[in-house]
Amino acid sequence: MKLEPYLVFSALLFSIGAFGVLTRRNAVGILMALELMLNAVNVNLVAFARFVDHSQVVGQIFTLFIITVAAAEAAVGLAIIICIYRNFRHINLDDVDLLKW
Amino acid sequence: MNFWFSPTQAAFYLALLGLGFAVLTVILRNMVHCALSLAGTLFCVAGLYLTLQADLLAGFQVLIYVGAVITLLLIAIMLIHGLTDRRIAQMNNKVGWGLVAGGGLAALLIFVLSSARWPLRPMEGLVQVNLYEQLVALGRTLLSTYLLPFEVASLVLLVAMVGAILMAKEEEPEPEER
Repeated sequence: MKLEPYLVFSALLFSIGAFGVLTRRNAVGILMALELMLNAVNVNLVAFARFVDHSQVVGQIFTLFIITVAAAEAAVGLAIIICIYRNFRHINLDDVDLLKW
Repeated sequence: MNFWFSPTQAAFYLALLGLGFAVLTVILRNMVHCALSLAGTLFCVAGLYLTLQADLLAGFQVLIYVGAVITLLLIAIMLIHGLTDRRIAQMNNKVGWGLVAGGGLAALLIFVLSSARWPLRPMEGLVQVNLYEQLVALGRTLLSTYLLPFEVASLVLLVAMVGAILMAKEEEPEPEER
């Protein structure tokens, strides 16, 4: 067991998530790619907790907080998306321009 | 105990499977399929937590992500029209630039990782940890050093719940003046 493969996996997962965020048109797809990126960060934290941290628990606690915030983010994000859908009848983020000038 | 795979092999296959599901998540057209492959990725990440001996987090991952977040995503997809139609393009016209950005990011991260030297713990510390002791240590640290963030997290969850309900609620028509 080594640290580096986990970091490479997490880097690749983060890049795939970034690709998804950049290329998706609808907001739900962007939210899913965002979850991928958050998971990549979590894998990193747990791997460092296992291989670097002497107490072995601090990284896991940070991961717990990230999972909490991700759940909250998913709930609020989907509520906003449903709100947008109610007003525009679509969730294509390229065409949602209420806050653009 | 006798497993089919050693932990290293298991981690390798789980990582490959997780990356495959992740790619499907960002390229498939039907959003329901995307959500299901996201669930696959999350399961693989839970398995990786097991190989990293973070059993509690693996459980939370399955419960919160696969159980709650995926369900939430699927319900939202069902409520919104046009997400499961294969004829509608779900990617914008910047796929090439997205590939360049994602690939560049991956190359940069892996280049930085390959040149970094981590202050690794001594290898004898990497033997199988006592899961019960780890759980106790986790609980103690969470409720002593990180008590304030813990409470703030519960506040965040409460605010997120109230906010989500408020925003998703159908707006009632204004009561007419009598």
